Amino acid sequence: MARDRGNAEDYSGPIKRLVLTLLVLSLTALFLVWRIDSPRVERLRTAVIDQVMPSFSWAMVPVTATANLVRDFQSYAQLYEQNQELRRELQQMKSWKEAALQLEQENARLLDLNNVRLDPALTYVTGVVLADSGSPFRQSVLLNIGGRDGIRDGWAAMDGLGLVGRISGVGERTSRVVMLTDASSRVPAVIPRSGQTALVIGDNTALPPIDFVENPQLIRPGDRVVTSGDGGVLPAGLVIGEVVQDAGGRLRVRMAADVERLEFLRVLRASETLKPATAGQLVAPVLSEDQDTAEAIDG
Amino acid sequence: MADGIASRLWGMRLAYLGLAVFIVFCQLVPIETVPRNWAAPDFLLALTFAWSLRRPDYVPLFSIALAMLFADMMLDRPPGLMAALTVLVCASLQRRVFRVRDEGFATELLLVAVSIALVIVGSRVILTVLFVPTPPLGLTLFMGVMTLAAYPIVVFLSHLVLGVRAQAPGQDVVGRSLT
Repeated sequence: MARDRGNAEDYSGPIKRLVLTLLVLSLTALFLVWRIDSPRVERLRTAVIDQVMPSFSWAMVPVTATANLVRDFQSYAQLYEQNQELRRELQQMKSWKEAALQLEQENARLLDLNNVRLDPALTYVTGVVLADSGSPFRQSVLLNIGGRDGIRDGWAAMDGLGLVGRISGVGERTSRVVMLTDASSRVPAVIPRSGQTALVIGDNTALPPIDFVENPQLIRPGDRVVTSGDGGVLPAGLVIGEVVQDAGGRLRVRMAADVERLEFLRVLRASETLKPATAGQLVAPVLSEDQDTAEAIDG
Repeated sequence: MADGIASRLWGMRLAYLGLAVFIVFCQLVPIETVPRNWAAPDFLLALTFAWSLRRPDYVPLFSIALAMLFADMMLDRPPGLMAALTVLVCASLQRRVFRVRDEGFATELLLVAVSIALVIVGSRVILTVLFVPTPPLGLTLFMGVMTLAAYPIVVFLSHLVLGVRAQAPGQDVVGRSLT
């Protein structure tokens, strides 16, 4: 037996070593290409996901539905407390409803006075959440809408209430939404009450911190945070959430969107987004004045 | 007889790839969309190590590379890095298959712990050297520990359900007696 084993190794050893070398070399090459020219490999990844995800979805839908059913069932246990809480909230909501109605009337009157037409460019496409990122290190979801529905990179994704993230990676039939909580997400925001601009910086926690505030003293927990539209990627005025303060005194955002259960997401069509033409412009988009001068020099 | 061996062998190879797809699929189900401060074990890694140490014939290096690359792609990891490291580590594990069988489960667990650490720390070091932003260290280490904790369960389940057990002396590649 021992000699048999030795023979087998003699015979398969070189082949195995060759296979090992080839595999490791090609995988390393792929990784290095990704490091050097990430957009191209990310497009490949999007294409793979685009092929795989729709064929998963037949199985994904019932599994997700069952999981949600179980979760709903668990909430029966706290039915009484929930009922009490809802009653309390309803009381508060009634006063808010009154305020909202008055504001709505006032708003309608003002709009009428100004003869304002709402921006037709802010229409949206609604997609179903197919999958999450599948890893605790990344916060993103996959939608079942993609290039075929006219989705473009950079568009904002919201649930009914607030901003969830933006599109990053569009396949033919799927697209990936990088959420505000992802460690690579930076969203320019403004706190309307004090007019302070800030960045909402994802750090892989449920409450993304606010940073780059000129005067943090002017910000109080409870202030609303909306997108500022700076940088031209996201439209201005989308609700992000409200300011909260963590135990360390750091300002964070509690998102208005119900991130715990994302089922449908609206992707806002933005007509004017800066589109990087070359990979270099991903780093710093060319400013329009520069372009003009460049053209003037050329001409 | 030879035909039966071949069909069982290829069946188990397909089963490995099927399990890999299944594990990735389970991870993708959109139940957790809130960031958490814990991490589930990497079952695919545990499965790959367990089978490499028991039945290297069921998990040829090519299958491992394919499965790990698929997971890299789907789970938004740097493509190819973890796959390359796992293939390297598994190749060395597969050479130790007879020694591990003779020395018991504690040795095997130790070996697996070293392997997990190699893959995780290795990929982290390479990412840091190449200036790729890395996920939080605590979460990564937690995942490593969870994977090690899940390893005996994976071994037990693949023994019980799929009959993947160490090749005893005097058996052929699919575990039947030669006599």
